[in-house]
This record gives sequence, C-alpha cells and structure tokens, in this order.
Amino acid sequence: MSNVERCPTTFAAPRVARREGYRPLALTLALAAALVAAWQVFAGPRLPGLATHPARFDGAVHWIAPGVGPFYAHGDVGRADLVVVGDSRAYDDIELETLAGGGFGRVARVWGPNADLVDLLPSIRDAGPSAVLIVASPSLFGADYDPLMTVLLQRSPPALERLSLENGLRRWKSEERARLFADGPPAGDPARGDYEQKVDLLVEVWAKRLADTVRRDGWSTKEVDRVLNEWVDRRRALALATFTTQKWHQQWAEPIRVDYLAPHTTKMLNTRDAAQRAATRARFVDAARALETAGIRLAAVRAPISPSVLAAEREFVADEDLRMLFTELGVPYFEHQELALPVRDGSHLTWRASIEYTRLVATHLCELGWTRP
Amino acid sequence: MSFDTVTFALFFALAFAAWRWLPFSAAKSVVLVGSLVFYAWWSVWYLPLIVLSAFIDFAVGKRIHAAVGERAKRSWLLVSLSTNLGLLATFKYATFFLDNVSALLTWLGLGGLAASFSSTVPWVVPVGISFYTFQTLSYSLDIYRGRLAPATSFRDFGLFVAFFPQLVAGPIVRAQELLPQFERRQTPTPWRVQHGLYMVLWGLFAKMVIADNLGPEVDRIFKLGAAGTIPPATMWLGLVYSGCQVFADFGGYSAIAIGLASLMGLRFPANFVYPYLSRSPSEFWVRWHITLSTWIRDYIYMPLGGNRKGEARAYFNSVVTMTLAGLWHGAAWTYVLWGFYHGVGVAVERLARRISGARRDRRWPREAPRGVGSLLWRVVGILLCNVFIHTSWTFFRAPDLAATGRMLHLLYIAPFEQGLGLAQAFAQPRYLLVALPVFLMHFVRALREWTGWKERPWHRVVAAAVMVLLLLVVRRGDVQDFVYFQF
Repeated sequence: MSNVERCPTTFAAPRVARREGYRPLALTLALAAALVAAWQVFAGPRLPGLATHPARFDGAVHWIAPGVGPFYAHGDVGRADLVVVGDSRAYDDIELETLAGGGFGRVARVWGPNADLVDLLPSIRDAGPSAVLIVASPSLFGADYDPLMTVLLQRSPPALERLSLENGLRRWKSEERARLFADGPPAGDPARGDYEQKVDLLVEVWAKRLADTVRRDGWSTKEVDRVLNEWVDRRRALALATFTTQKWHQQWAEPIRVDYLAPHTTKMLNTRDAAQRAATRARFVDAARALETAGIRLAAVRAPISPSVLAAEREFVADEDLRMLFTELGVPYFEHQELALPVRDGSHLTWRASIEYTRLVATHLCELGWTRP
Repeated sequence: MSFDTVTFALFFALAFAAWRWLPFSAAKSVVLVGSLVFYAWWSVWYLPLIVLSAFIDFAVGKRIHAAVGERAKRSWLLVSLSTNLGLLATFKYATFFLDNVSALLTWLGLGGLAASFSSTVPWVVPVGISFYTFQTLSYSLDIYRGRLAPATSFRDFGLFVAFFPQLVAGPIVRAQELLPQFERRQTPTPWRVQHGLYMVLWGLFAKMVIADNLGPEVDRIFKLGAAGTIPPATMWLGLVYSGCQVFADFGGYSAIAIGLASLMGLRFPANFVYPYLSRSPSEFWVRWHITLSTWIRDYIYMPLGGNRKGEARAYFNSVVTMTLAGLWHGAAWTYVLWGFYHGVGVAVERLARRISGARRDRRWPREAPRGVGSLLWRVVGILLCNVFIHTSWTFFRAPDLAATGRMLHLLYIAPFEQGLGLAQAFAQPRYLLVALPVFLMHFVRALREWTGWKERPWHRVVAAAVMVLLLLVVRRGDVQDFVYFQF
C-alpha cells in the first residue's frame, strides 16, 4: 500500500461540490481585499511606518587596500554617472531608487560604515563618474567606529571562488573566528562571553557580505532574484503599512528613539584630537581637488539628525567647520541637519523620510544643472 | 530558483501556461527544459550530474527489465547503485570522509599524512542531490523487484527525475506514482485548482511569515545555547521555535510542491501530517517527511529483514535504518547522532510495547478518546513525544558534538543547578505569536481527529484570506534558503 493511500493528505481538504466552481476562490479574494482595507484603516495609522528600509542588499564589499575599508557598493560604480558617497547616512538617508528617478543618469552608492571617506575618494576618481554627491558629517574629519571591527580589518578577506564559495567561506569563518578569539580578552575574563558573541555575529555578517560580493562580481542568478525581489518589496512597502516581527515592539509600542545614537556619536568622535582632524581635513581637501581636476562635479549635503545627536556632533565639529571646508573647495553644500524629518535612532532617517529627503536633495541637484538630457 | 522568489512566480506562470495549453507532447518537452533551467538557476555546473544520473538509470532500467537471470539483473542494478551512491559519496560525503580520515591520522600521530587529506574539495553539495538520487534509485530497485515496468520515453523519465516542483527538496515521488500521470494530460478541476492554490498559499505563508521570522531568533538562541550562556527555559523555548521553524520551512516547501503539482493537475503524496500530534517516535516518522520514511522503510529497513527476523534483529534494523536516514540529512556526526537517537527511540518504543503487551494503534484517523482519562493520557503522550522530538533538534542544529553536549546539559541538568529562568525566557513573547499558527493548526487537527469535527469550505476561505493579509503586511526576517536545500 503506498503512503498516498495509507495517510490522509496534509490538509484533507473538504471537497468542493461541482456546482460551487470557483466560488470559494472568489470569496477568498473578496475577504482578503476587505481585510487588507481594514488593516490599512485601523492598523496603518498606528504603525509609525517602516523604520528601516525594506529588505535591501547591504552592498558588495570593497577594500581600498589591505586594512583600508571596507566600503559597500550599490549599483555599478564603474559605469555610474552619479555616485553618492559618505558614511552610514549615505546608506540610510539617500534612497537610491528615488534618486535614480531624478534624471541623473546611472546612479550608484559607496558607503563605509567603518572607514574614512577620504580613503575612498581616489578610487571614486578612478571609477570616473561625472558627479559625486558627498553626504557629509563630522566623521568626514575622521572617527573611530568599532574597535572590534578595527581588529577585523587587519586582514582583508581572500578572493573566493564562486564554485566553491561555501567551502571557502567556511574556511574563512573558522580562521577569522580563531584569529579574533586569540586577540580578545583572555578565557575567564568576564568580558570574554560578550566578545565571543560579537565576533560570531560579525563573522557571520561578513561571510554573508563576502558571498554577496562574490556573486555580484560575476553574473549570478541570485543577483537577478535579489533585484526582482527588492523591486516588488519596495512597492509593497510603499503601498501598505507593513511591519517586521523582529522590531515588533519598537514599531507598535516604542516611539522612534531620537536620542539612541547620541552617546555613540560622542564615543566615536572623541577618539580623534584636533590635530588628527586637521590632518584628515587636509587630506580630504587634496582628494576632493583631485576629483575636481579630473572633471568630476561635486556637491555635498548634511542630512537631518535629531537635536541630541546634533549637539553631540557640535561638541567636536562645529557646523561652521563643515561649511568652511566646502566653501574653501567651492563645492555647493546644502545643510539640512536641523530639518524636522523623522529619524529612527537620532542619526538616520526612517525609510519613508529618506524618500522624502532624497526628493529634496534631487531638487537641489536639478538646480545645479546635474540632470542629464 | 527558490519557490519564494518573484523569479519563480514568473517562471511558474510560463511553465503552467505551457503545460496547460500546448499540445501535451510539446508541453512535456517544454516543462522538462524548464525544469533543467530551474535546476541550473542554482549552478549550471551541476546540471550534467542530474542528466547523467537520469540517463544511466533510464538505460539501466531497460537492461534490468530485459536481462534474463538474477545474476544479470543484479549486475545492472549494481551499475545504478554505484552511479547514484557514487555521486552522493563524491559530492556530499567526500569532505566528511576526508575530515574524519585526517582526524584519525592525527589521533594516530600521523599529522604529516593527515595534512594530505585536507577537506578542501573544489565543489559544494549540489542542491537536491539526495532527493533526485533517491528517486532514481527507487526506480531501478522497483524494476529489479519486478514492481515497475521501465519508462518507454526518456523525456517522460527525465521529467520524472527533474520535474521542478519536487526536484530540490521533495517530496520524494516514486516512479509508479508519477510516471503514469505523464501519460495523458490531467485536466485540473476547480477543486484541484483551489486546493493547489491553498497549498501554495499555506506553504508561502509558512516559509515567509513563520519560518523566516523565527529563523533569526532560533539562530540566536542556538548560538547562545551552544556556548551554554542562556537559562534553560530559553533553550527549551528555542527548541520549540526550532521545531516550528523547521516544520514551517520544510512542510511549507512540500506544501508548495504539492500545490504546484495540483495546479498542473498532478497528484503528489503527502509529506507531513501534523507531526507534532505524534504520541511515539514511530508515529512521528509516519507523519514527518513521509516520503523519506517510507523510502527508507521500503529500500533499507525491509531488505535488512525488517521485523521478520526476530525481535533483536528488528531493534538493530530500526537503529541502522534511522542512523542512515540521519546521514542522508547531512555529512556530519551531529546528523548521524540525530538519526541514531531516533532509531534508539523507535527500538525502545518497540521494546516497551512488547513488554507491556500494548499494540500500536494503526487506525487512521485516530478514534476519539474515550473519557477524560483517555484524553489526558493522549495529551501526556503527545507532550512526552514532543519532548523526545524537540530534544533531537539539538543534534540537528548544533554545529558540533561539543555544542550538542552543552545544549543537552542546559536542557536536562542546568534546571536543577540554576533554575529554569522562566522570566527571562518569556520576556519577549512576540516569537510565540509568530509560532502560533503552527500550534493552532495542530490543535485544530487534533479536534478534527478526536471529535470528528468536519472542516467546511468556508473555514478555508477565512484561513486563506488571513494568510493573504499576513503575507502582505508581515515583513520577513533574514531571508533564508529553505533548510532542506542543503540536503
């Protein structure tokens, strides 16, 4: 007796009488439409909107040189007309798809969550876009980000073969864990447990990004899947009030945490003294001038942040310092740091706010004549 | 190409249109080519493997059927066995084998020699290799046993091996179930279409809403559990989440496969029947991954002698069969141990029945409990069986045996040393809500099995509409490949 006969089907479905035809399907669609409408009316206003972007690729990993980087790239930087560069605000506050619809030609982004922008600019010059938009912040004068990441950056990841990608990643993960564990607090130290967890998390995140980079660098069907999924996902998130279970409490019950990153900002900027900032500034001026010499147009924006984060930043870098920097370079600079848009953690805009803000930035770029025929 | 992608939706629309409206012969050719494209979407380099496996088994099947004499038949069967098992040994188990040889040589003090057995092989396990090799193996074995006539058309046989709904993660459909359905077009009735749509919807809901949202939390808890740094209650909760995740993930995949086949007018065997309602290890394997458990029963357990060669041999056969089933899941000692654990569970259950004189209740569906005592006994049985099953997820998920040991310590010893830590475990109950549909569907099924309560069409209408809503508004956690792709 085959198992088909021995067991019922997974869902022993009620037989629909022949005369029923497709009525159950029609009723299902009607009821689903009613539920979605009710959701939009009753639950939609209670959700503060997506704090973070809908499922989005974090970007292919690029090292400028061993230990310099990493930066993450979205889009084809080598063929882009306009490249957006900066720290995490370039990632969170500029919505690439919105910007791409602004008529600026092909758009790409390179951002570094743990690296100085000044290190990136020579590579951007080599890529040869016609324009670069700098998302400026005090970290432009240098900052130390995450000490553990800094340890991690001492060794660039190897090139990984596509066919044996999983094996290569497994080996890389095991070697990196061992190396980072050896560099951490000794066994028995109370901080050891937290350290190991953080290492595991970082290594996992990195392994995923390495895999994405390898797949992206060669033609990959995964890339096709990703692009299509993101396209649909973005439209769903624009049309409906959606939520994630991982941020459930935050999205339903907590207000947006406007002060969350203020202490981190202080900690991050406090690691460089005035002399170090001056040196980084001088390097930045040289790198920006090299871009201009190569015929690349530059503009800069300062994205909206919360008052507490702004106050933390002003302790180390005055608004005037950034203004003077771009004036000295002759680069158009648009200051929006006090613009009242929803920030999810004090330092980064919510997804919907980032769309609104990108439209504002696009307007400025149009005024500069950056649109392409 | 995974079922939960937009790419697949577009692919299926084309495949469905071809299957439905092209002349049937052309439709089969188009769907066969489409199935190979579907497989090559993961890696085009592994396409020759499945084609080779299919070609050899098709040719060998004819030879076995035509051969005169047992010896000739057996020789041709050996060709099929060595091809399919050789593919598995090379592509799935080579790393495991080399690692263990290397470890053994190191243990023997031959470190220099051990280095030459480096496990870095230049390939990864081809997606779905365990599923399609088992399908083609069963084809050859059934012809050898005289239970099946060989396929006459290579196209039909190729379609049986590579048919995209079941290609990479099952259900493992036998040739005698699927090949006859390729003989003439099955016109889908409104019931079959709606049943198919419902199954696809449930599968997507299970994967995208339940499994992918539980996944990050399960990973977090298991990672901390492997380090032994969480309270016991959190580890237990992690096991429950893990059970729900793997069921939603794999059960979801099977449901989508069954639903897609149903939309195309075909019928696939059930693969999951509310497994967490089981009251014993053997019942669990009648409800969980049914097409694999029946496969190993028919092609490993029975040839070993089953329960026909005495009690002791039956225990031995159960343990060996389940251990091999564990190894089928993955090339690691944790999987071997997982299978062994289930084998011991089945053997102990058999022994207990023999001692107590109780007979296994083979009636299906189960009859209603007779009185409160019977109901309580049944509930206790389900709870105990779930403790057994969920404990096994530690082997299934742990990175290594040492981590398994730490997790088992957390589950069974730490509660007596440090307490359960219930408050911490239930501080964030949101994941219980994510897992709720799995509890609910089992509860409703129990009501149906025990009270004779009938499902009505409008029940499905409401359930489907709610699933559509949740699929639209709940965003996924980290998008993860289907768990069983790795097998």
